[in-house]
Amino acid sequence: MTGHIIPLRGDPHQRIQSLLPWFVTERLDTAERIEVEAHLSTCPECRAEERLERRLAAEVAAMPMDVEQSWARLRARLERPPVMPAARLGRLAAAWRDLGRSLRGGPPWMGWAMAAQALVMVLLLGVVWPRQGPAGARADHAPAYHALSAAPSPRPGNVVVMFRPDTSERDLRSALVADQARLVDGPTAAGAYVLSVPAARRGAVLAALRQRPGVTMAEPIDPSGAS
Amino acid sequence: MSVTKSALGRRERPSGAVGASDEAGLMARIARRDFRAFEELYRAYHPRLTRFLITMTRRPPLVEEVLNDTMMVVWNRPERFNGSSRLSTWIFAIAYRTALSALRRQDQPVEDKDADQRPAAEPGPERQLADRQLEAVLLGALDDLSSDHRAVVDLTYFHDMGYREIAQIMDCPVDTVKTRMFHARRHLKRILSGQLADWL
Repeated sequence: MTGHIIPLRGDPHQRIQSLLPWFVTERLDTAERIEVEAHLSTCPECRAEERLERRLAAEVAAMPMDVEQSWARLRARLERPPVMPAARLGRLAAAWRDLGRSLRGGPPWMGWAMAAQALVMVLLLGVVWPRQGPAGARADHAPAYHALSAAPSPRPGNVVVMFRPDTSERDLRSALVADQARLVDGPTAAGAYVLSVPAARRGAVLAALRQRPGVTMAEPIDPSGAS
Repeated sequence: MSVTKSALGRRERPSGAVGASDEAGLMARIARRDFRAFEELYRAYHPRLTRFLITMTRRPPLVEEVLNDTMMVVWNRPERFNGSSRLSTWIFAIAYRTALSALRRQDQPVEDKDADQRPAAEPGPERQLADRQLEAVLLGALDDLSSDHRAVVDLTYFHDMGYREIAQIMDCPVDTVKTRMFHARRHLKRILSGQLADWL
């Protein structure tokens, strides 16, 4: 006796049952739907599968969710003021140190002069520093990926980037080397990385990163530096 | 959000969904940096994405961050939606990739090739006691699946997506979607065997 090997892929029951999930959710095209209906009309076994399928689909589909809490958190991310670059923080700290020294010694007028200088710096920072919020969340000030780099970093990052999940370490490394970028934070829970790139070249680096097939997102994350 | 059935047994679309023309209008406004339009889209997609991400990742603490990162991409890069697919396909694809990244970072298995061969654990008396509620049994059965299998189950049953659209979202062949669903169903049937008599 010579046996025939019947491939499972050709098994009509298996083929029909593989379509049942989309038959019961009415997402098959007409030809497939007619094929399934014709088979079900003559096959009690697959009809039983169809009843099971409908019950399974109904049971899987139910879970109420609350939008308010999540929206509040995302809005807070968009409204959060940008992280102040270390250089500006350093200048501000130096001004306060100078002010403290001048008040402890030196001529009396020096203290008032330094205080005025520090006040002017604070006011200038307030004016120059762009506010970021719903109204100010514009494309040139990419909003709020600061939250992804919430952990304190010794180096200021100015680019956030996400790679495709299947990107190899080698490809990731070559992208960083070619674009003169240094990894300063990440990956976050969502897989984003914070990079530090030369401020003067940030626009070019962003453009180069976005051209790479393994990069799904590359955005500037602080308002200083050219983009 | 809920999924309802009409008297004829036909499934209705999940509530909260936005019509295609409304979605196109919202995306056009988002491209013009209209924050109110973004909020509207966010609220429309939040229930569906939350549901999908909870089912796929089984990690509630991850869900909000992945969801918000997904919507950040929509806000930051609206021009990447070129209209060649449905907006939901584009957004779910971003969510799927973002969730995969998050799971890989947490060393969660993304695809379990041996799931179909693994014998189902015999539920002991304690498990039977705890699993009296069908929902609890079902959730436990879903937990045994890989995140890829759970994603297909959820996109199919809850989001009413066809296998071609799911293949687009997961960036895989349609036969892979069918195979994952076939194995997932078989696994669920095995685990739920005690309840099947009531179902049929």
